[in-house]
Amino acid sequence: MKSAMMRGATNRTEPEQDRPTAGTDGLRSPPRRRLFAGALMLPGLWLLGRWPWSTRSPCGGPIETALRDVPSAALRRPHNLAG
Amino acid sequence: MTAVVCELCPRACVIPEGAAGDCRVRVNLDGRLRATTYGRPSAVHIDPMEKKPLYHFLPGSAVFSVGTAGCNLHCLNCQNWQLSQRGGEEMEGIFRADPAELVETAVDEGCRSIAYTYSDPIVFYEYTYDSSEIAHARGLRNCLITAGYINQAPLRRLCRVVDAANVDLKAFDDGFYRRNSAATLQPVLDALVTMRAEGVWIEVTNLLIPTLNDDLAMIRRMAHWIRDELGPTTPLHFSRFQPQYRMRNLPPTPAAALEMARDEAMDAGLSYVYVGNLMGHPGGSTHCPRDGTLLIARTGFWIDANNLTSDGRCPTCNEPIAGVWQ
Repeated sequence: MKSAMMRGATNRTEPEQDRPTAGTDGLRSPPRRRLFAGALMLPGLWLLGRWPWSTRSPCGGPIETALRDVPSAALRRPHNLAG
Repeated sequence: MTAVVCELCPRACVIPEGAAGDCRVRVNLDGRLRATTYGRPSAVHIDPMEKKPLYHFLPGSAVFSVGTAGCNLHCLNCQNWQLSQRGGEEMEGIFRADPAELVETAVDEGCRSIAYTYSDPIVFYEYTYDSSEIAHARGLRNCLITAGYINQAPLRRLCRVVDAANVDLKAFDDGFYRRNSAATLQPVLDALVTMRAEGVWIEVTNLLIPTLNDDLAMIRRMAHWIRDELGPTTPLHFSRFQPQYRMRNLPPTPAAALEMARDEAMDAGLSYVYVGNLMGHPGGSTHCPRDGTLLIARTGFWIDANNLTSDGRCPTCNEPIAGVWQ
């Protein structure tokens, strides 16, 4: 606060706010419109994240399709597992 | 809702329907306990036997090595945490290999044995057991690389089809097991005694972590216990710690600490004590306990010279060297 006063901030006059105060005109107020649009987007994003529904396993990943054959060409390659 | 109790390891997890046990891979599905990694390994490699490490079991041979996701221990310094501290659904790669396919691949690749390793074969017990039975029928040997945290009844059954085991004895201190691995010491000691009684060839590994389990008095107690309960010819491997997983605040084990531990264990009466994870260290070679003859010279996981006679004796004094050589 002290440093702001030293810069002369107390001499400046703030312009009056000409925006409507939030809550005075219902949904037409910009913050509320954004809130409403955001709320509508959430279910849409959730549905997008579920796509494609048919290949998903109940535990969240396409387990069965991830199974691969043992790669015989790579069996003797160096690896960093211990034991 | 029917909960099931998993009786495989001392945790005795009570698993509600749809949930997994502490190991993440043994699951209650519709009131029945299922091993979700059965036939689904996430790591399959062909390694030298010395990498397990098994120094007195078919030295220099290639071992078909397999591991799945999951583990029933949660060591802060786990070296394979990307595999062991995950459930199957979290793995990037899962292979399709039922027991018959696994053994067939090992035979095709010219391996004489299969190692169940990388995570802990205890949590893929049924896969290990079924594969081991088929492997025996095809003339292959079976090796467990394990922390030995298992109940007695399933262990005795598994010992029927297992030929060798390297058991990771993490410390001779129950407090260390509780703090570092979320486990306890006694079941591991019981497992070692049972394996010995069931005729499984045993080697013991102790990963030395600076300041946590490198106390020489504790190492001496451990060596005495191994000498008295498992026999003085049981190989003991002191392995070098590297900062890993959730224990990155400690330095790698100094070579001098490994050498002091080795001297202490040999002084306590063990015949074969090795230094591991330290490339080129002379403590990785096998010497005759009677006359000191160099029997197997090793550099890292590789054998430079094998001077044992064909029936596993010292070529100079004819002392029989404990192990499975053929």
